[in-house]
Amino acid sequence: MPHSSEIAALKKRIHALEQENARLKQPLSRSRKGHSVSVPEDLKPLFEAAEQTVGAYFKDLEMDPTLAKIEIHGQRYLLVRASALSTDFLATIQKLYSDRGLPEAMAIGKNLLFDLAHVIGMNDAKNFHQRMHLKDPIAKLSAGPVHFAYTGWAFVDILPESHPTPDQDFLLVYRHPYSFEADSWKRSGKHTASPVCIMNSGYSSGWCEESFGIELTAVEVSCTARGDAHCTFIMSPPERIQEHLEHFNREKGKTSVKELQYTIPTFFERKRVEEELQRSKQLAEDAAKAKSDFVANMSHELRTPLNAILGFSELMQQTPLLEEQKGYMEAINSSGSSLLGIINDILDLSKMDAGKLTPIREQFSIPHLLYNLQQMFLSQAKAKNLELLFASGEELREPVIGDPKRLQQILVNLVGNALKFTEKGTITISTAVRSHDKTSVLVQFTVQDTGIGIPEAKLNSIFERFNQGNNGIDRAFGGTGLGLSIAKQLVTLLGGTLSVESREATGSTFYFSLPFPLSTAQNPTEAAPHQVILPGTSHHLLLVEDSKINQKLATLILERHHFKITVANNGQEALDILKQQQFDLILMDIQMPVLDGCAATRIIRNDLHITIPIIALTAYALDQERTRCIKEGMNDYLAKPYKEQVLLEKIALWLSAPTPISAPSGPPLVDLTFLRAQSGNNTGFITEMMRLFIEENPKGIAELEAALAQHNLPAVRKVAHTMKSSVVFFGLDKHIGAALKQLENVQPEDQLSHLLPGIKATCIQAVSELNKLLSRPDNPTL
Amino acid sequence: MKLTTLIIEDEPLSSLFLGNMLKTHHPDVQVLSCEHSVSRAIMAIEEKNPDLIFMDIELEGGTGFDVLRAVLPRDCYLIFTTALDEEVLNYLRICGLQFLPKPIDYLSLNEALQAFSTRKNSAFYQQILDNLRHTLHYNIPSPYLYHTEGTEEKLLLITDIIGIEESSSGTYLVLQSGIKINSNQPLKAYELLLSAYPFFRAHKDCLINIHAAAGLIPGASLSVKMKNGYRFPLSAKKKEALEVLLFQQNAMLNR
Repeated sequence: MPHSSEIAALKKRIHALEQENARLKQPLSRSRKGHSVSVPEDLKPLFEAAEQTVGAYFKDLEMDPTLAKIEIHGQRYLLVRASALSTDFLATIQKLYSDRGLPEAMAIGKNLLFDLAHVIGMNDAKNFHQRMHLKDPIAKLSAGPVHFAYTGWAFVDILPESHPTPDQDFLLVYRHPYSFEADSWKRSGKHTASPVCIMNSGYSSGWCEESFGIELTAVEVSCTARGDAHCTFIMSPPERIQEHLEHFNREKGKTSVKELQYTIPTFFERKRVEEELQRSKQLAEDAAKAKSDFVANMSHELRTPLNAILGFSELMQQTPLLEEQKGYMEAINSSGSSLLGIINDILDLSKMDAGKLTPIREQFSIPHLLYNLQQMFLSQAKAKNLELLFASGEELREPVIGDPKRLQQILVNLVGNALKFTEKGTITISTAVRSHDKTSVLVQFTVQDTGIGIPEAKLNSIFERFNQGNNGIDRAFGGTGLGLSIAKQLVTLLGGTLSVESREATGSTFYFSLPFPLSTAQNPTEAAPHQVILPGTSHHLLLVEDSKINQKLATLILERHHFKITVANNGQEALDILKQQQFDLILMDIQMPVLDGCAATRIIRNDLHITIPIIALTAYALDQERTRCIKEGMNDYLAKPYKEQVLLEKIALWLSAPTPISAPSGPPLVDLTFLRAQSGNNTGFITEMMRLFIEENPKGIAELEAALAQHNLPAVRKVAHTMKSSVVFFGLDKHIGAALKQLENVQPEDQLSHLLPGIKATCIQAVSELNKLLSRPDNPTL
Repeated sequence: MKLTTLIIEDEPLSSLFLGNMLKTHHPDVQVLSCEHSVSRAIMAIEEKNPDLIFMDIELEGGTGFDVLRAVLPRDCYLIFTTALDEEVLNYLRICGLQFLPKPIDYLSLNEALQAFSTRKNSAFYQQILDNLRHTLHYNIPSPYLYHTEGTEEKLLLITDIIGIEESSSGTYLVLQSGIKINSNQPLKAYELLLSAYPFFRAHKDCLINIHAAAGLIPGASLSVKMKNGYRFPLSAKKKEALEVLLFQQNAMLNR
């Protein structure tokens, strides 16, 4: 049984332990005396509530260095030495950015601190509001200064002129009787001419911004670190901070903001500028793309009719004309050509603006290119009685790698200009090797004329768009004023700089140097030899083109050159026809209804396994269009409008090219068994029948086509009926008998146009087969 | 002596083919001309008076029947050429007219010319032409059915045929008089041939002329009683349809 005194001692010990325990459990902030923030009377109730909330929040502060833990409700806090975020930090930044000078280095450092504190303030507020379920902006904001005090940033004294409203009128004027930043400066003994409480401004404006959902910034207008009585801050929306500062200055009897050496944080300004930049960049890119698309589309729209104008006028020039008419036709043709030139110029510029123009890399010979250039301009020079001199260095014999098309375009432009602005004398085109090593060569191109020259004042602006040497020159010489601008951009694109030297009335010299890697191959690629297509060699071409006028034009040109043309109105028709008969080459438009050229080509190559050359014909003269064509399996590309000669050359080139593997030829359609049996194999009889079919069938097809197009059902029935009885003689009923029977019995509700292509293709093929049979002198099949 | 002929045909290849076929296989036939339209055909026939006409049905400006409606010489023999159009073929068959289905082959051409040589000046062929003229003029179905029995040809008045019955040896046509005429055509062929006439397939073994029927005779074995007393078997499945047809007919007659 223990002694009562022992029990009393034990009780006392227990009491002491309980007291110790209670003391240990006691929240850290319990030691506070009075309020953690001082506010005007009318705001007091609000802030007392905030004291409760924040106090409750911080009651659970736990510290355990063995776990590196300073924690409230499981959220880690950090203790940071105050001067490390103020004096020390700014001193280090000042050193790092010493090359920028003190003011700029300080500005960089202060901006960093402001940004950092502003973001921390916003995040702390967000977290705290969530944790303590604060919804009301005033409650959210009131917790700020209290929280501020609890975390050791500063003690806040809110001044009566404040009116914290969640709008543009938001104004908070407050003091920090204690600020960790000012404290850290005062302790360091460093003198400062400007306020130093940057993080305080950043953190508190961040907190309030998050609380009210409006952008806020804060500026310290007086600072104890500078020797002022208080650290005083003004917080407002960034748009109005200047206004409040000026108001504050007037109160203080100061006239300018500068005089007080405030540091207005640039956070919002920078953010805005960056956003603006980003937006402008996007806008510029969108605009360039829209413009380029627009121009490409426009050029397509313009080229298509122009194609017809140029093509038909070219054709018309080849028909008998009166002298007077010849002159008119020449005018039409040359106007059309120059219009085409202008469209091409504009298209090039827009491509360059949109960054869509990429130089190609292929092997070519510079002397060869110059020779072509000479041929091109010889007649023009002769007509103006000008001397055209080409001086090409011997050492340029080796083939180079580059973009001959663009180089030629530049030179054509410069030589064309020279011819235009020179009335007498000489135009010299010279090349010189500036430097040369094993792998590359730097070549200078010079185009010199003895023309009117360019006034010195204008020398700098001639490369600008829509600019010409002097006012009124456009009326005298014509042109868009785009040529030199394009030439300059093209030279830049190829890696050089176009320069000019000129004296008025003496002449101009344009020159540029371009680097070319040397080709390792021995022989320069020669242009394909101009194959002359033998007349009478009746190659069968498939023209896939939706525009009737272009169909007619191409057909006229090609038929005059003894090609046989089959026309398909779109990709689908082409496929149908290709399933029925064989061709030597396909001319394929790109933009077509039903099935476009690229899609059709894909099917021709992948599904029909037809390997004959396909040449794209398109009014879209963009490089990516060309790439797309080639990628889909086309062999070549021709931009509309095309010249007759160019079209023929392309066709000749591809017809003379070795065909990779010819597609397996289908069995012949024509079956003469019936005619042979019935006629007792009478050759004369059969030949007559074949001739008549060749003559009559296309008419029938045309009638059927027209009848279907006009939806003339009686005519459809009649033609189908007639055709049905005629195709039987050649065994074609096996192929199209059923289709013709359907047409023969066509009803108003039937949609039978789709039958036409098959019928037509079969008949065309049959006619072609019959022609072949007839052309054999020995007629072996008969 | 050469036979003269006209080829009335709107399709040039068919006309060339026929011309050449005749030239090759029947050099005795002289083609006077080929005509492609109704109007030219009429003129050519009136002008040239050929022995033989190859007549296509579909022509420019109308049909071969339009030509014949305008001009049908008594001493001219007709061979129709036509693609397979059942309606037209039935008409030609019923009328007993010669035809060559297209494309013409030399065997059928031979046959047609053979028939021509036996028929051309016969009185019976004149009957055929008269019937044709008559039907074309009034634009009506042929009242006569062309029938051959061995080498004997005749035209039977269709209203006189009360039914056609299947027999062990083929089919026979039952006439109003009760006379039965043998035929080598199957019942099915008659059903198709006479589809434009009021004939009804009362039973798998018979085709009856509705106009000649009097009424049904019920009993263990159903039958149709004809107005002349003749009875045709009636299939149970057809009973109702026949009742309807007879009712309609009576209603029409009583109106």
